[in-house]
Amino acid sequence: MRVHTQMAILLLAAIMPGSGAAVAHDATAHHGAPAACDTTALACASVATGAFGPDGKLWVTWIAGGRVSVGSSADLGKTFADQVTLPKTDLPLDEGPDARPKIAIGQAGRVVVTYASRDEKYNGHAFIVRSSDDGKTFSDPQPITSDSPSQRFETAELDQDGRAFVAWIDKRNVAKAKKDGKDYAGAALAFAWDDRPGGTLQAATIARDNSCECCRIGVAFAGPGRPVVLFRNIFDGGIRDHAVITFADPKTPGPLYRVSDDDAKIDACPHQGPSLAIGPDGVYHATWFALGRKLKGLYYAHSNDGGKTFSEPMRLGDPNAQTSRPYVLATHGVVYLAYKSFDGAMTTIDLITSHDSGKTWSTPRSIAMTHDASDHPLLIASPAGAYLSWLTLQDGYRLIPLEPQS
Amino acid sequence: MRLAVILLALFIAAMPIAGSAASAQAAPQAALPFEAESLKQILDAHKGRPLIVHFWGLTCSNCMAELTGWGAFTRAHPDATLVLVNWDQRGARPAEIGPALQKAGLGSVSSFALGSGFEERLRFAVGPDWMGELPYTRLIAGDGSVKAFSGPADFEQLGSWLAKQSQ
Repeated sequence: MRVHTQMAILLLAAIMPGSGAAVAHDATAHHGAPAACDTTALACASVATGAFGPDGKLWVTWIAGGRVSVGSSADLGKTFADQVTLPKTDLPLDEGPDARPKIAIGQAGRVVVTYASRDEKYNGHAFIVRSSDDGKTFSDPQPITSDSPSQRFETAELDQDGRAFVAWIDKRNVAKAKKDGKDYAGAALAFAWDDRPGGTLQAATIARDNSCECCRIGVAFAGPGRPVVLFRNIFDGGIRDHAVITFADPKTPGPLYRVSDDDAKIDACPHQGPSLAIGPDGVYHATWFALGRKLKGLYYAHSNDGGKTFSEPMRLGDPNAQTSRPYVLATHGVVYLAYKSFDGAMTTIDLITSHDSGKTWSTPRSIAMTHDASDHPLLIASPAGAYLSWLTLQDGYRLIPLEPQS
Repeated sequence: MRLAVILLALFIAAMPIAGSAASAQAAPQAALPFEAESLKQILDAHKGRPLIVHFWGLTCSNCMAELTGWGAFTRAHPDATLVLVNWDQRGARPAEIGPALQKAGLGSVSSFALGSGFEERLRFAVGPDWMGELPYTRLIAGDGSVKAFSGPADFEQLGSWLAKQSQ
């Protein structure tokens, strides 16, 4: 017990960096964590998700002090204004390794935030909140669905007309199967649309049964009313390989296509979901973590035919440096791909870029590093450029421009 | 700090080996914090003998599904040395580890839980190629050679591995 106490003290010391409470500003917009970090401030966040609005304003949603907050910055993350802390959830927030609150910004001051809490059985309960006044006020949180024992990894995107499309991993059919005494592998991919821009979510539809239950999903748009979802599917024989579904129209999920033959026959939770981007040229860019008998590690592939077929998977990073958490962004004629590596002492974010829709790639360039715990690297686009959005324990929230590129 | 490390090493060495019926009745023990040097200390404490280190999570349904299997394995192999390491990250519930292990018949098995928040560093110290997937198991032979696998265990195979070690 004595050892336990000492360790607890060491642990406390480890999570209390020496930097003061004052917010530090420099070229890459650091926000130092204060000494006792239990408030809802961004400086105390454990995860943070950034997104740009059409006017170039940066929005960030984060978890700190057991609450979800939202703030915006007109100066690329140097200062944040109008922090809104959302109502406390009845249950603790979902802080699983691949879970995070998410934010989407539309026209006319529309902001949508989604997040989930988790009960004692680790079932997720996901909520959506909305603002129609540029984030000054938010609606009361609404569950994203009813009649479902668990929703996790909810992801909201706004379509061109301002309607929210929300996709998530749902366990209603797991519960049904259990009640009927049947086996059911994994969970299901579910989705719902707003009835009108800024309205409410309609009833959920199950797009696909038997998806992996413990990984984030990737969502992008192939065109108006045509979302595309990339997720870890469970194929026949319990193979947990990635698949993509492109909606034919808002109500109709199209056929499922396999992204790669990783041959992941493993009943393990990788806690590492994929990332998807679609460029203005319609090319799909997919990146994922493979835990298969054929492929193991991080991979990238692109599709020129709307997700039917993908290019030969390209290996990323070094398998002995924990290369993980890949994220892809296609914007301004460039495809950006970032991932995290750890060499035993330092975590590095490496970036590669492609100027020919994913056919050829630059050599990796390190764009950020830290010597302590950090969130997943995310890539986000403003109307003017592309950025790394990254939260680290040492430096707080960072927004790092990806230009200049060689 | 040095004293803490020595105490910890002594504590590990003195820990009962899996599965005695008497201690299964005792109150659930608290998991020790698993830090960067923990695996080395565990290995040193069991040097020259086969050792199974199993990483699991309350948040990992596949782990929870096979936990009773590990309980049965320790009962079938009372001489086997098993160390359990809970690898739940943010939102972990350490208070639930002991009761969950006791329920699975693993109440007396040496138990650790992920220590300080820098998960990458702790994971790297276990195995640089371990991507954090759970369940994950490392088999350390008496000669120090290591085999690792992800996903649920094949307990029959595990039994054969163990039998081979004592030959």
